[in-house]
Amino acid sequence: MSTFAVKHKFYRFLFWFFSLLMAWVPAAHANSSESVISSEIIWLATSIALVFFMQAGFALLECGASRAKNAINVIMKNYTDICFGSIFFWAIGYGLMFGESHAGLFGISNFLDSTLSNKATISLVFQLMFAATCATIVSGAVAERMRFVSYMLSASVICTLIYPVFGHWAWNSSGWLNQLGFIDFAGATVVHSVGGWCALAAVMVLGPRLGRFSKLGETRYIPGHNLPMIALGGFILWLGWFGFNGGSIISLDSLGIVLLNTHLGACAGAMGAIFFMALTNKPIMMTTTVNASIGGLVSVTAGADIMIPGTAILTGLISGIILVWGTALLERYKIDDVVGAVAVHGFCGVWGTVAAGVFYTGDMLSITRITIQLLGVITAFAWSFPTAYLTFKAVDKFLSLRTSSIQEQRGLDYAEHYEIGYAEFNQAITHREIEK
Amino acid sequence: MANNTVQPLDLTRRRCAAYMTFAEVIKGEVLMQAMWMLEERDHFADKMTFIGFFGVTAELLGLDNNIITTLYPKLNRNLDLPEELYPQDPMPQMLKFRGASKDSTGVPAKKIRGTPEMTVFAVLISSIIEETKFPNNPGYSAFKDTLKEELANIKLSKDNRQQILSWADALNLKSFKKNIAANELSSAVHCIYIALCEAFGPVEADSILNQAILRASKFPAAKTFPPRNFL
Repeated sequence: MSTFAVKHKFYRFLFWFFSLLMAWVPAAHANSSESVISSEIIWLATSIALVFFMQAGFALLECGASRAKNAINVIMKNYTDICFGSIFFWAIGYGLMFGESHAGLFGISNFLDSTLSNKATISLVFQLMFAATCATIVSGAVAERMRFVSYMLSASVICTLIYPVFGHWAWNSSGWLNQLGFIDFAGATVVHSVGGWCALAAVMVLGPRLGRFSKLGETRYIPGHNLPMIALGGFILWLGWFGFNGGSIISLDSLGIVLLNTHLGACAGAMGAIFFMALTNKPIMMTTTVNASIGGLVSVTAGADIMIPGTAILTGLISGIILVWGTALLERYKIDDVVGAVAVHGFCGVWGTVAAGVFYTGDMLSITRITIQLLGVITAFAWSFPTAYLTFKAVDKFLSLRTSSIQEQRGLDYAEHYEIGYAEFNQAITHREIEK
Repeated sequence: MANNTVQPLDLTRRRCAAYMTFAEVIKGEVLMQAMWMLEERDHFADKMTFIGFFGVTAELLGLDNNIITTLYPKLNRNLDLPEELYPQDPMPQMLKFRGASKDSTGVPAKKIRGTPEMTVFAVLISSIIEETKFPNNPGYSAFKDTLKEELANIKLSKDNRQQILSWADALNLKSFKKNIAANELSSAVHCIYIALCEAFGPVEADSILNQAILRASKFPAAKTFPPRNFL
């Protein structure tokens, strides 16, 4: 089947899906009696905006880390995964995650929900942002060689199935992991590790970029086209994290400590990586430092509400080391992760979730708690990695996951979107003129 | 700040200065080859860029680094000489050499009397060789092996595949006995790109191909067949 025919079928499927969806949705019933808007609601709504802004952070970081000829493609993936992911999560994912539980495994109500109270609706929107964050983690890892259509389909599956099912186990009050006492405050495992494992599955199915590793085993560094953009992306993600963790609180009473721990975790992550790079005689790289601060943020996300500042710093410091080590480990296994998403979100997420058990204030070093946390992170991997791997394999079979090598040569901006990110520079020379 | 350092050099001036400088260490055909290699470099280059071209050309000719180091100040001085001190413009000699020369790997594509796309292709691959310093570069064997593998996977007539493989073995434009169609040349360029990626990594491969495209764009045949049509 030609690529055009496959694309056509995919878009036709989307058209019918959304048409049916529109017919199904009952009229929204706003709860007008809920007239008092509490400070919690205002803070949650503000947090939504901050978490949404994280998408811009991801987009800038990933775009800067890619070559100029793929800039538009990376931005497009970030821009559109939130569009597709949000609608699919609202339609199906939210029900699977927070609906009435079936044996603690998945939700069976609240699909296509438009009858929630004002506060619950705001909470739903907050959860939409989390789902989109989980999906967008993959886009950085697979940059520069994954087809746009295939990415959109895979991101939709992550938001519709992979993320909500594990989210149900961990965050639904009837979820089996939640019942065991598993804690993950704002999603170090639920959002970040799951996203990281999906990214790992994706890069394993895709394979490395052309020439990234030679047949003789040499590793080639492929620098991004705009490193200051990576730093700006890092700053925006850091800012957004105050909403990511801050918006997850149950009461405003704990907001202060959550924000403090979040900030200290990021600082310590960067410090940990810098110390480790200096001690191991590696160059102190800006890209690694930015990634390490994000790794620090990921790691404190699991226990930002139950840690004291000292343990939050320790958690962040160790995550910085894990980030540097994890990135090198992946390279050793010839896994080409463009932005280091697996190390940042996967590895640091695992460490942060275990650390939440280790440093639980008032119950430190509890073997039972640590065991449950370990069970949680292993379960996250055991569920998300194989499911994502099968999803990417299936997409590869029917739609083709990877672009052709000639498209990789030309750059995905031209090959996939007929738009050039920086037309006045090299692309004008190295690519055929776009036919109007 | 004086802006004379960013002005393009006069072509005759740069030719004469380079000739004076090179003539101290090389003679005859090699000198003519060097002059052509320099002539085909960016015609809008400023003084510093041209000195850079000169250095690269000297390296490509295999001159000793110690000798090259002594040539830089001489060229710098020669570029600023008053016009009356220059020798006669060496261009007539260069043209004579080009007309008489039977084979010139360093001087691209003059011998290919064929379609514009074939000429542009010849310029392109000659530039790639110049950039990569094949066959002396350690990446040459990886390049050749990958090119063979890639050529086996694309639609290409047996004869044309053989022509390209012979070129990769000998790095000699004489390997091309017949013209090849543009679409097949385009596939061959892609295979060369993949082989460059294997030999040097994607960043270097992009840079080498970009440079080659830029250089090929300046040849008259590029007006009929722009080299970017291969990409």
